[in-house]
Amino acid sequence: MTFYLVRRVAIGIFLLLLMSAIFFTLTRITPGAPVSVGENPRIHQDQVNRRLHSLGLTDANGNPYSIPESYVRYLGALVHGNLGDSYQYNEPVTTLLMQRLPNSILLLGAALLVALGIGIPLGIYASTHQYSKIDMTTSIVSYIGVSIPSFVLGIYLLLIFAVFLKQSPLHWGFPLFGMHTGGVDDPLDLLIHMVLPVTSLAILQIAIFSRFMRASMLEVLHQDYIRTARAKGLAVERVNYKHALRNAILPIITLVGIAIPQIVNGAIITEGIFSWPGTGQLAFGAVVDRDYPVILGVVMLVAAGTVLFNLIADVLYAVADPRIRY
Amino acid sequence: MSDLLRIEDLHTQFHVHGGTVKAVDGVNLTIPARATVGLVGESGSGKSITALSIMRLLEKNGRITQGHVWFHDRDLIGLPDEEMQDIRGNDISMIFQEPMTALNPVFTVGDQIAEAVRLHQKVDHQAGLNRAIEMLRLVGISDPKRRAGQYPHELSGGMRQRVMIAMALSTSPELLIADEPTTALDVTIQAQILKLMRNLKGEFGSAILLITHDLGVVAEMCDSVAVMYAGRIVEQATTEELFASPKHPYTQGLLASIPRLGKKQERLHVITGSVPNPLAVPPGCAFRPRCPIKAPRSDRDIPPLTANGSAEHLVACWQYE
Amino acid sequence: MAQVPPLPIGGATGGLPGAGPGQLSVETTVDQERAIAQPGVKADELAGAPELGFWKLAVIRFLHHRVATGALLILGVIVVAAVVVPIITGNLYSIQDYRHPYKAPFQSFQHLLGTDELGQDELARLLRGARVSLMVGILAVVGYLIIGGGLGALAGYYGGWLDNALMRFTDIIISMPFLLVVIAVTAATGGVRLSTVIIVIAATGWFEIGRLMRAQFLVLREQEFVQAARALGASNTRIILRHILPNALAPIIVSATLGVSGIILLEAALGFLGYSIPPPEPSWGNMLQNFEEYLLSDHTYLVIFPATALVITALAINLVGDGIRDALDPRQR
Repeated sequence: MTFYLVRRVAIGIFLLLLMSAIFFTLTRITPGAPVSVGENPRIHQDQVNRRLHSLGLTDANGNPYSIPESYVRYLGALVHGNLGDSYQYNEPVTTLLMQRLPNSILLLGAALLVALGIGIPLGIYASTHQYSKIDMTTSIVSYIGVSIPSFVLGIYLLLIFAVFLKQSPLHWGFPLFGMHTGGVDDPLDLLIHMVLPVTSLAILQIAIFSRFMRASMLEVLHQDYIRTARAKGLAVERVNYKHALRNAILPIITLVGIAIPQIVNGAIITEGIFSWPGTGQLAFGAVVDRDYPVILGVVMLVAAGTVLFNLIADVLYAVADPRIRY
Repeated sequence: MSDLLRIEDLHTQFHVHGGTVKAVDGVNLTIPARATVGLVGESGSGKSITALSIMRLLEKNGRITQGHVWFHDRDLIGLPDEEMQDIRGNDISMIFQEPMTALNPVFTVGDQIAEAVRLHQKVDHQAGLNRAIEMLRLVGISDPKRRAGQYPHELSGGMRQRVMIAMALSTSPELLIADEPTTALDVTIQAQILKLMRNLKGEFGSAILLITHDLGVVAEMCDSVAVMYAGRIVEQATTEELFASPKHPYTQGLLASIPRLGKKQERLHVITGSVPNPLAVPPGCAFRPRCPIKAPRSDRDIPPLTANGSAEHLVACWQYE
Repeated sequence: MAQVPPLPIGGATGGLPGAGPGQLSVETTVDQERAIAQPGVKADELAGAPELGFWKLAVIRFLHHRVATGALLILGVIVVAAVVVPIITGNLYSIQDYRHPYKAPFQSFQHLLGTDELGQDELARLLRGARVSLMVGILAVVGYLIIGGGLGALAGYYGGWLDNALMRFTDIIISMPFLLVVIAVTAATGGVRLSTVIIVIAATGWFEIGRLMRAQFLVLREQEFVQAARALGASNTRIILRHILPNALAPIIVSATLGVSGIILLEAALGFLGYSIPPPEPSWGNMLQNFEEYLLSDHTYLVIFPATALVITALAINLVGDGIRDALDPRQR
């Protein structure tokens, strides 16, 4: 187990290095990209040079670093938690990320919990009541759910709750484009602001989890050991919820590992649409403004998070499934 | 001998894409207390479905459309689910063909045996576990205490089948249904498992319905035997009688296709053709297309199972009309 | 390495549950269906009969699938409209009717679906946008098939280091947020041209098909008919192209179909972020770019039309894809 963990962590670090190298190189070979920051004709060349130097792009004499050289410098800074400075905000990327990360974790965590909390029971119900009305409805809704990207869903939600229902009593005070003003000090306000973005992120995952759970349960319910359990004289419910569920829910752990990058994917746009001040919104803005250090920083953060969560998912799986030993 | 289980005119159908399969089509069978009855047939002859019908464990698309299964004086077919659950695993147990997949991979074998005991004997967890360990010892598993704490994947196929037997017998059932209990096992393990079943039968006094396609197993284990073809029983007799003078052409074919030591045979007999398409069973006798005799009425009417020679020897063939 | 069981979703070769050997199979096979179609003729005798070949049977089964056929019709209408109408209307999509900005829909035949803030005809822009979506979707999937299909086939057939490298690399990319990767690469390559978008999507999204192809080849290369071909001295190229590929196609076709809808949605997201084809050329994604303005000024139709067009198209493609899946593998479901 220890050996396995060490190996996995080593592979993870290697992957991160590989990815950082690829993305770093890509951002550097972009013609003229960082220079465009100083292309305003009213700014003196010295200012541009100083700016380029302060961004770590040129040495003290104004000579640009070669790509490998600057990559090594980037890595060296990375070890000290320095991801460079944002072109746009004139602030260290690390600071920007750390300011916004808690907000994102709150949003993503809530979306994941909602998705699991609704998707799994729904899938179980659909599998044990195959072809019932609820099963059919779940299938159809989840089918549509996977065909709507979260940004379109977010726009639809805004359209319905913030525009169409504006004058109606159903409008629960969803602000069209706001961020939570009171922060954690005002939980109710925070909650209201979370409803729409969490919904738009969670629906796709609810669709995926419920479909998956249904398929997984149905497959398990056809296994021989389910018949054995029934032959023992166990009631259907006990067979379903003890023998079948325990087996069917195991792969969900892996699925959560896969779902996290997907939610992050959706969050980039969703946070932008709902003006949620998280890492996704930061990325959204950086993408629009071509703020490469920030994009690179977000990519690295997400990659690190993904590697970490996949590792956690695999370890959890090994703990939960007695068949797996390392 | 009193009858423990009496199957009367049992019909079980499956709805499949493209029609209805009459998997069991009017089966009559009696299992006396403490007897071992063999049920023999090819794959798809309906013998496993007969067993699952007794246990009422059919897949969702399967339905018992007609008939009775009398267990003592209760008809299992009309029984409410709760009462059926009390019988399953308690009065009637079942072991399955595939020991590799018949045990739940995420629970220890001890827990899985103890679950049945706790359910039917209303004892606490520890008592159930103790019984499980005792049963594991009885089925010849060494170091049963340690084994009880292991998961199925840690045991060999033969050992898992022993666990299944332990589980099935842990509540001392009156009837044990064994569906091809040795088919998936190595030959040497097969012999061990059969021996174990014979010994335990003496100890527990259970009747056994042994489902198999292996006539050798029947000869070794059974008091009487029923031969199934295309959802119907075509011949039924005591084991000696059946082996000594088979009456149905299908049984004759089956017996002739067994290679025998010491008996010089030109070549092994082969029953030509194959089992009829379950969705398009021919009218009349289902065996007719493969039958060497093709008795006159067999193209129109299904032959009934009637006594022939002795009251114990039943056969369904028009040639004895 | 963890031996994680495969996820049951979408497995193309799911075993039939409850039909172990010795048990009556409760589902019919293709052979049985043939037997039903032509009673009295044994399946084996029919296997070579061209009139009921695998693909023809699949087409028949697909057409029996009402929802899938309906979705195919809708998709057909979208494709024809996207291809034909812009030819007739020419550059109508970019003509700015300054007298009629924000014209409401269903008011006149001149602008059936209204106009946007610049007075550009919404219907013409939607159809032009459909063109972009479909073109990106189809071309990028062709890219998936070439890269993923090729590498997957080679990895599955030859195994070894290529296989290892492919699987490890796939592990990374699959675990990354795809959109972020595409954005980062597009941003880094500095291009917002359509060709860049297609190439980047194709280069970063081929992994699923690659895995699928690899899995198919892994299984098929061990089959008797491949061994037989090898024993007869067929070259590797011939075995791959003539013997394995045709048998590996079914799940690939399904995955490619579903891939088209995924790409269309991805392209829309990119367009929404300003990373796909730039205005004045319309795409469903960039038509939504100003959604805040439209929502705040109550011109909701400018949001509803492109968003709904996107969802209907994606849904129709998914339904067709699932219909194909069912038609190719009747044991599923």
